[in-house]
Amino acid sequence: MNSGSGLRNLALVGALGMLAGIGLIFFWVPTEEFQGVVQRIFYIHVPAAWVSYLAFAVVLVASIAFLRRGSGRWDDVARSSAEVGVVFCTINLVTGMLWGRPVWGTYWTWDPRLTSMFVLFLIYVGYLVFRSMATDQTRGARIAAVIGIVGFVDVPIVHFSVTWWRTLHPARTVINPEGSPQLPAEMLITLIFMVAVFTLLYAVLITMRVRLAVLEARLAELGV
Amino acid sequence: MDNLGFLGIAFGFGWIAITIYLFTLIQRIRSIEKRLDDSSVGHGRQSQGGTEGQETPNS
Repeated sequence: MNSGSGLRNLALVGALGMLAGIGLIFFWVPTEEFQGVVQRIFYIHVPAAWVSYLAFAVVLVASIAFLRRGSGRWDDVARSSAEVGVVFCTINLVTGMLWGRPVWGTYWTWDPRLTSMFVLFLIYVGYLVFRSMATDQTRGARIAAVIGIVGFVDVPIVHFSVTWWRTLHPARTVINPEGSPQLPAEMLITLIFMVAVFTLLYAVLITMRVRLAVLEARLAELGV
Repeated sequence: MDNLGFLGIAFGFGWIAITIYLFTLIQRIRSIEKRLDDSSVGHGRQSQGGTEGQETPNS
């Protein structure tokens, strides 16, 4: 099996996973008593947050590896993961706003969780803008790697913001100080399933984005 | 807008964002692959032409 067909199979599994996830979200998991159907946004909102954490963790690791070894491949991975992470971070922010309007009565409030997530989004959008504007690619890659490493500091702040500060945002229900998930079994299973599907989608997207970066580099080398 | 409307927009946005990003990547990859193929064919023709050009005076 070559890498092309492997990626195609991974994408197919991701698409089937999405369909199965829609089935679970709309036909299997019970409706939350107080929030009603809009609570189902949770099943894409939380996985999107998880994937953005994962993507920015990959940026961190790849940036460290790039600074230590100087290999352009690590830079490609960091840049690609930042881009995919921004896509999922956007999904997280937008779906959160769409949940906030009916539940809180507002699309946006400068709550610690929302604000820190928005800052995270801005950090990595800034990273990508910086990369695209850098005239000296080697120097740009090194400075971007530093941004990628320092920017990750915001990820634990986002995650623990609901514990450290008084906030409107719901508390951590899965990985929490009580040590056990505070969710009914059906909700927990659906959430874990969607996290797995989103992680698979991340794997597909990062693989394709890195391939694109490699092709772009080859194109630049040839001067086509 | 009722709760169902917010749910629909949220899911629609998520799915559409991922799909658009995926297809943009596929299209960009295909476009670059085609340019690289075209350039390699062009280089091939050029080098063939160059050989023929050298042979002509000798013949």
